[in-house]
Amino acid sequence: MKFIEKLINFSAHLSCVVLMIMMLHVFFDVSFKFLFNSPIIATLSIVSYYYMVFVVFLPLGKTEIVHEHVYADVITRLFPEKLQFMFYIFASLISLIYFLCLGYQTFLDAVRAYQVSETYMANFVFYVWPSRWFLPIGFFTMAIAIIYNIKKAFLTKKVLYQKSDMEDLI
Amino acid sequence: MSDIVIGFSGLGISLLLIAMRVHIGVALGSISLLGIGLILNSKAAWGMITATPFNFIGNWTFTAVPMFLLMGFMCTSTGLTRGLFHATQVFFTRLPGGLAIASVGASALFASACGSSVATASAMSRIAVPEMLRHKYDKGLATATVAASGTLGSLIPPSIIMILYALYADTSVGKLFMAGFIPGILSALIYIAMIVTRVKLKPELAASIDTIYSKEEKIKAAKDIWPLPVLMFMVLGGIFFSVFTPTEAGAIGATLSMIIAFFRKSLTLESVKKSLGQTVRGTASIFIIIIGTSFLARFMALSGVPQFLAEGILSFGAGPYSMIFGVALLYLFLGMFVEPIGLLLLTLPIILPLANSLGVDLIWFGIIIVKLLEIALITPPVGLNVYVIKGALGELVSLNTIFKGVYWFILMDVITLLLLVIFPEITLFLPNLMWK
Repeated sequence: MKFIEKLINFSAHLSCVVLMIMMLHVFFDVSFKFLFNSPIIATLSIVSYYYMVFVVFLPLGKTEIVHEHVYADVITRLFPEKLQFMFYIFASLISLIYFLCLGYQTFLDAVRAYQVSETYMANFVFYVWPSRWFLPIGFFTMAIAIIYNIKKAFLTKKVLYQKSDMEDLI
Repeated sequence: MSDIVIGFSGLGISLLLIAMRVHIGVALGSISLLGIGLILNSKAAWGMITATPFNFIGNWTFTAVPMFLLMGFMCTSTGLTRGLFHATQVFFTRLPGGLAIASVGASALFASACGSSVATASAMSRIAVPEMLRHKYDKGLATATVAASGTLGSLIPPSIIMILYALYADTSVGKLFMAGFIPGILSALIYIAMIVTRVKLKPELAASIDTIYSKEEKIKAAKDIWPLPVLMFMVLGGIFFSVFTPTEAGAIGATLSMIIAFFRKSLTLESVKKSLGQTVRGTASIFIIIIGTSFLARFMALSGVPQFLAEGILSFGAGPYSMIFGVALLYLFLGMFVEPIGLLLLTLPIILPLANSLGVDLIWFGIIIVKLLEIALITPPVGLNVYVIKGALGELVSLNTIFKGVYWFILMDVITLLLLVIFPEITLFLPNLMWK
């Protein structure tokens, strides 16, 4: 369990670092464009094909661990706790299958992209095959996080909900 | 089974799964893949997985989502939004229902920074409501003001919901932002007019406050909050004059909010880490729904459900107005248990083809959709914003009391909505004025 937590936290932290770099990169790109009339080359492609895959796929697992994926529990909360628990396990299993499917297919795609050294047509050669790998990594991390949460739910015999962190907003 | 039947059953099963607490993105995605497999074959369904998630990443519009989320979280976690209510209070206190008006104003400002309705209501409920109750304001008025003003979050730009709508409708995010500006301000002004009128007619709703703030205090209050409005005007102004793209505007906004916080000595490692974490998790959760919605859009197109509905509507001779009415009913119902982003993404694959077939202006239609989503947040029996406030205040106020106050605001929203529907110019004036 400890190792899984570390892995999931690490991938989330990595995506935070990349997000910060992405913000600064775009900021400096715009600044250079105005100040020196020379934007940073290939910002658009780097942002969409490199930074975004980190930002979108790596935090998937962490988001699941803290229950921040979007779900509606207004209705299930009306049921007794035992049923709520069963709904939760049922929902988690569906998610698990879904993400394993996504992970499996995107893994095959990543292997294919690697074999042909997939590129993206820009003014210059831009390799996109490395980013393809982040899809299966993200989806499988998500699957691991779901299993982690199911185990936790069985251990505590409770449905776990998202904690609100709105307290100190204002 | 005909494709149409598969399409409608798929929709029904997806909704059932959502009601059973399955992640919204998973419910939409898994059923849509199954549906595509049934209509075509399993190879096509696997092919969707290959094509969809990665291509979305390459979509430049989506990159605006993490940037604006980051800007909002930076503003809130470094304290740029702190003091908003106090400042508006200093300026509006002496008007009838002054504290309620101050809440509307503070919510509007807060909303433009954070872009989320539920977060706005949640934050304001903890500071504005206790202050109003302390001054013996009517409980219904105090809580309803915050619940309703929270809904300004998605209408006043920048707004995450608008980016997502633009992504699907293939319209310009910048134009949509500009289109939301006047309707957002209009909604706030109509709220304020209603509050003033009600308090004038029934003074016991809101005790008048005699505190007179000195000029120095006013200056100090303005000094306290000026960075936020200035930041927002820079971001929106840049988009308006096409100086930068929405993504660039978001990145600039986030960076500047950090710089401002640095000079105000409120930038801590903790606050930066927190907003980065909130942003990546928010982005990931939205992205999972987006993938599900893209599968759903393909599934719907294959099944022919949207065309079927469009033909049905057209054969009844119904036009855009009846469609808007239909969407309103749909949102009132689904809005009871799905939050706005999920609701928008869940319904767009059906609504957008309909709107297209009726030939309505997609920018104008987008703003109407956002307004409808917002109204669904405060309508009984389950308005999400009302529950957020109830959750924040606990036993202090009953749900019934909040809803009783909220009816007035819903009435005002209906007026705003009618104005927006009848006079599209209100919405389209700014985007048409934009450069380029």
